[in-house]
Amino acid sequence: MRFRSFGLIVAALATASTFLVLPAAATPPTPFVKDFDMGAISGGQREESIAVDPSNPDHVAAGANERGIGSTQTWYISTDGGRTFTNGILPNGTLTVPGTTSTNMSDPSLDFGSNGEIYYSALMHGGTGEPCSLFVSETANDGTTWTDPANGIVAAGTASPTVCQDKEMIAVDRGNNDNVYVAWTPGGGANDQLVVFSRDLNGVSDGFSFSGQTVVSTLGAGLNAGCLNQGADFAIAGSTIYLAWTSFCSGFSDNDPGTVYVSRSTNQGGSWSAPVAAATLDNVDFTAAGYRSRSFPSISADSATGRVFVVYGDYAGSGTDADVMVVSSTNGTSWTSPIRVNQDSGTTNQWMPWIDVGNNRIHVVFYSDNGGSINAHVAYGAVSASPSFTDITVSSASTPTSSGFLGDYNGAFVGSDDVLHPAWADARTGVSGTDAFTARVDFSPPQTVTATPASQTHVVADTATVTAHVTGLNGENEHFIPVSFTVTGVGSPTPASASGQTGAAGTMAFSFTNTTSGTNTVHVWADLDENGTEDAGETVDVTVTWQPGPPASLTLTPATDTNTVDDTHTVTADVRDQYGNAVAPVTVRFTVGGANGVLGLPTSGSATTSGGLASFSYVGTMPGNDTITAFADYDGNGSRNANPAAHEPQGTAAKIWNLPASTTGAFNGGTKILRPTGFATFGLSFTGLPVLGGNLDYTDHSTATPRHVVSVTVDAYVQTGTTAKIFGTATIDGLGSFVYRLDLVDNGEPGTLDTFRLRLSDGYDTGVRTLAKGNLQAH
Amino acid sequence: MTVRRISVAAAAVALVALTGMGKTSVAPRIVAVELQPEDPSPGGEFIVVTNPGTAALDLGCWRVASSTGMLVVAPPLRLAPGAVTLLSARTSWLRQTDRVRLFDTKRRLRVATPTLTDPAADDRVWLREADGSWHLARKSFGKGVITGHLVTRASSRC
Repeated sequence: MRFRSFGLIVAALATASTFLVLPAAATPPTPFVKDFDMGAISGGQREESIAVDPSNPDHVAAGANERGIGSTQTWYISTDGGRTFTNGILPNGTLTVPGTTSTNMSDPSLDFGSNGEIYYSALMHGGTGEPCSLFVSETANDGTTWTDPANGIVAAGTASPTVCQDKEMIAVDRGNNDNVYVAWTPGGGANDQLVVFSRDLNGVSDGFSFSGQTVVSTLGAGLNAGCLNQGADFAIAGSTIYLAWTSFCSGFSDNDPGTVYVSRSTNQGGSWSAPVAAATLDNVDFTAAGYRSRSFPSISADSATGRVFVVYGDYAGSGTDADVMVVSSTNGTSWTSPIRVNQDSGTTNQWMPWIDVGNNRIHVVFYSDNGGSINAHVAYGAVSASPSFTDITVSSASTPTSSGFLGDYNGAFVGSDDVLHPAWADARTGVSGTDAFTARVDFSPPQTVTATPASQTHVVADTATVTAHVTGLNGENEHFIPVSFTVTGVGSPTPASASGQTGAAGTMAFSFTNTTSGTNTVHVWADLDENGTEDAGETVDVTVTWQPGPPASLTLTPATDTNTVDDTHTVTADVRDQYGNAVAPVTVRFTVGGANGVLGLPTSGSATTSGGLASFSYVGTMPGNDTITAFADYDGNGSRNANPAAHEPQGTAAKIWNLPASTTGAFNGGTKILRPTGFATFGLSFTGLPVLGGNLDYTDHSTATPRHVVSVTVDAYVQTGTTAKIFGTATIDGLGSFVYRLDLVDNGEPGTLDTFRLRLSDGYDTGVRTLAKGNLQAH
Repeated sequence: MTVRRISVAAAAVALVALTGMGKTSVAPRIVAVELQPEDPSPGGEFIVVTNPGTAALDLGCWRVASSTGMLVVAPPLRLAPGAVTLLSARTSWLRQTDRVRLFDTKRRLRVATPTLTDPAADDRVWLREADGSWHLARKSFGKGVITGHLVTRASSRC
């Protein structure tokens, strides 16, 4: 007999602290651990089995004893890699157990079929001393419906004699038509306390029809040689099925001795080899502490090498504490010496191990108890005959040792995505009773987020799309990683943010638009460690440049203005797209109509926008009203297309040219200037202030532009030295009223150095002409 | 520590010390009864017994009776004053409604529980309070609990 050590050991606490999973500050460490409550359900859920769909690592199923609702079974199914689960009560169907009306259920065990079906075995049983029936139920729709347990009876309990079919495990042989294998220990009857086996060929596809029991624990003499053979578990390696269990021949209380046996079948369970002792142990049973346990083995095979590993609880480690041990074999007959799996200092208890081998790695989940609290641990190491293990805590909070029963076994399954899914019962603070917990122990965690394109350019109101891509340590696409996009910068990006999860390709796309030209920054955050906090290494920024759209409006400023003739007037065109953005470089063409437009100088011009603006300046020489018109020559062809779809908007501005203030002075003279097709003669005499007066008599004798101009009024007289500008109205050929402007320069003698220019509001302009004959005289 | 391997001679000496002078030792006390454990695995039904006296007490070869019959405490099972033992059998031996009686080696009834009913297959057990009342709850008996076996046949040492 051995005293167990439940004492609080300070050294153990110090050691345990090194196992704590620290919050990730940057990209997740390897392995990255995050635990999950599979269902916050009232009452207690414990004794978990868990499995991962071999063809879809995101498809995870688990089961647990449920106590407090109907004392049956709770199933849990996840389709997002074990992050969230739906759950429900495993239906009783029409199953009843002889000799009892109870529908209590215990001992869940799950495995997947080849097409994602979930096979679930359990017991239905009564109270103490009453029969138990063992059944298999199956769901092909993730728990929406289950086959009737009454149609999947593996072994029915009996009331006389009382037989309880107990403590089974299930395996689905996906390499052999989904054969369903079940091994268990009847209590009572012909096979009392022996490990027996039954199979259903071809799985649920042709209905369940389980074979009669085959005794596998063929040990010693007599019915069961006085031994309890219990805790059967399967491993399948190619065409070989392994079955392991523990045989207790001297009681099964704490520290009672036991032997782990392994038997093999190479014909799909048709026959079994003689059991081989793989290890001996001292039973680890904490019933007195309120949470019963038993040194049942767990077995798993490495598919690559065929090496099969068995773990079990034992007092074989240093000191008096319970430890988890492992042995292995390549043939099932010769076994290695035990190696301790847990890596504590030897003073804390580790028990209830479960193993799964995959991806060239051994994974073992177990409880670790420092005397005051219990945590779930995972130890892992490379496949080897003498593996070395790294021991980590996977429960983010502890379970008090006073929590009560935690089940007789835990679960673990590693998926093809290199994520281990351990399962255990947990009663941490905030959990009512015990809940079924799991974790994602990711050996290839998300490491990198990229966003593409790094930069892109669009016309406003188009759609920009940014795609985030999350990859894992081994470059694989990471599904279900939370991603958010936040847009900053110009305008009102719509939408300005979005969040979601990466898809199966590891990507999430985000599209938005903006009607404001300029640059947006898209901040992409992939929450690689899924802790809800933005950490270094989890973000990337990309830019989106929005270019203005085509011209939609053109506004001239000032819209109206008044100047004195001979001043310079500048008008500015402001070209915008339909959203008000200043249009990128485009030629604006200006034309002037009205008083000055008729003279042809200047009548047009063009400029290229900069920041949406283009300016045009001209000097008005004639008094009166001008209209300035401008358009955006979007197609650059020099003429305006008024169709709005042509994007050549037009704007106008009004300009009033006033007469200059008059001065004193006088000018007279006349005779002859040359014209392109002849000559003109004139005579003039004007006086300035104080009283404006005078006249002009001008006759163009040319053949092209013949006319006779006679002034009627003198409206302004400006003389500066020997130069004069004279404005007024005149008739042409005795008709009408036309504005005239005279520009006279007296350059001294002889008079042929003097210049003469006459402009009329009908567009007639002599240009600056030296006198061909005659003289002009300033006074 | 391997209390289980205490010698037969030592046990005999202890038994004489307890009963040889014709005095009845202080009766052990049944402080917990698990009638209906969470599942039907063997060993799930148990009682917890303490030695409240000031002298050591060997429960080896004592009889434990329930509605299913009589079992024998596998010897030796020596309890120091204040020691606690958990007694279980390899087969089902209690019922959902039951009472437990403990007889010494002279077949004298030394202690009995009232008839108790465990309404649910869970981890709650019937617990005896200091005032003798019973209630259903979870309980950890802490370190140092000695495991004892109940067997169907008395050994030759009884």
